[in-house]
Amino acid sequence: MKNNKIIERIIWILLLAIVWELVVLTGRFSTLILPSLRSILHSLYLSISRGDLLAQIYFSMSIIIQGIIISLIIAMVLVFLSLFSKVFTSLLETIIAIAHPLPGIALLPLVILWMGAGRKAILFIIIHSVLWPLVLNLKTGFQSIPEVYKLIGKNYELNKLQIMIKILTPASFPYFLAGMKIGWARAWRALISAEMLFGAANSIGGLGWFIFEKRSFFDLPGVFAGIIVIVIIGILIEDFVFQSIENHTIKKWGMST
Amino acid sequence: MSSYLEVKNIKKSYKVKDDHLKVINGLELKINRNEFVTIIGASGCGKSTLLKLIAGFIEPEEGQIDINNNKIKGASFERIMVFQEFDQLFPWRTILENVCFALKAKDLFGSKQKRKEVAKKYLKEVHLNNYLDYYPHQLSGGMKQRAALARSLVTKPSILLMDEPFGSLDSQTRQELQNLLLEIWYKEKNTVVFVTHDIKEAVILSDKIIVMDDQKGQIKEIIPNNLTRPRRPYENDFIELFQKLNQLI
Repeated sequence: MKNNKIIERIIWILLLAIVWELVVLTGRFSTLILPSLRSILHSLYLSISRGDLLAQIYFSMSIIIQGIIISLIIAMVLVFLSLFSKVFTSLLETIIAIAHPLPGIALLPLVILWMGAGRKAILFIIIHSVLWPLVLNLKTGFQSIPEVYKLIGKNYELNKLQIMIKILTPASFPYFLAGMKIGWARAWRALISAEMLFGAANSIGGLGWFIFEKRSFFDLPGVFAGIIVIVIIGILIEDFVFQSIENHTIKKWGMST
Repeated sequence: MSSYLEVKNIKKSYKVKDDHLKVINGLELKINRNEFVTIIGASGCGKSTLLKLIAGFIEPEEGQIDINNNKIKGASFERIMVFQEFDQLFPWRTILENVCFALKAKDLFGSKQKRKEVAKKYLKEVHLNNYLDYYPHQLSGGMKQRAALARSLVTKPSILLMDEPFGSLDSQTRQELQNLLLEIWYKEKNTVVFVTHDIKEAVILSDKIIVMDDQKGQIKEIIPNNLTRPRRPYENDFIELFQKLNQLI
């Protein structure tokens, strides 16, 4: 983001926080329902200093990163295979058509029965959320590569694997990145929902569980503290991580979809 | 004496709705080593198809293409193509890296350092030594084509295939690049097969001009071009040859 845009954002957030605080001060709502910002921040501070929130952030992030890496590998293999076989491509397209529109959370009951309510189940939901948009985008990316790149690959006597790694993959990077963004957004939403439903079975639970647990004790400052953390992580990933990857790749290369 | 590059009775057709459209139909052609040959003809006469066949990107249905009496099989380092498209450079690589790509692909010069040195030498030949670390999108069309030329030359292909490489450039830039190409050709001694629809370009560049027939998918006429170099478009024999070609097309 540009600097003045960041400043704009901060000013708006501060204004909204002041409005929030003013509404609380009017005393129209019980602080049980609408806690003050001070109590929210205090709760956030306590959760962080006790270390449990950090452990839960780590839990959530480690699952999601693991899920994304596994999806990435599977997606590359699937797309690579579809370069070789028309039969496989047609099968893959059918599977995408079925699986892509299916929200991961709809699979939860089934997944619980199949693999229990643990880390594996969440991982499964994340992979389902990331894999299909990624495969779809990579496939589109590969298909929209200028013919001339492939001819150059042939001309310099590269084999199919080399063409895939040296030419097709970088050439379809804008599509790959778009797929990753969709995949991340889906995975992040699925992760929080799944964590709430699964609770902390066999583990400390993640951010979703953190919020859910606070709600059970009617600890609203804690609930809001959890929400703030989720918002911050979302902003960091979307506006900073993806943005900086874009700046160092497709922006620098003058490529866009 | 047999020629260096021989196209022997090739046929190639494309499928257009249930119908096979013969683009090239029994074409014969002989090109000598170090010769600069241009192929001209109306659009759709199959000149680009012929070039793709020589490159080995596509296969003929009948006939064969020989180099030094050996039948070619598929694409190869010995026949490198320069395209018309500006995006023949990889946008994710700098100009220097684009040229190094060719050397790496051919597995030349072992170390990265050495490859960079050689690439730099060729980029200097095409006057791009101040743009080594630029990305293609930062360069003009003419500069992109010069970089593409450097990438094609760096692996020292015996045959350079050029598919209207200057077709999308303005006339001044085109002239600059024609001169540059000739300069390099005198030094490198590649055999060049150059497709163009620009008669003037054909006369300026080549030793031999091949006029394609757009109806029959064959060669209409082969015209030797013995004008003394450098050729100037206002000289009488230039104009004479130009008009002769103009009537043929």
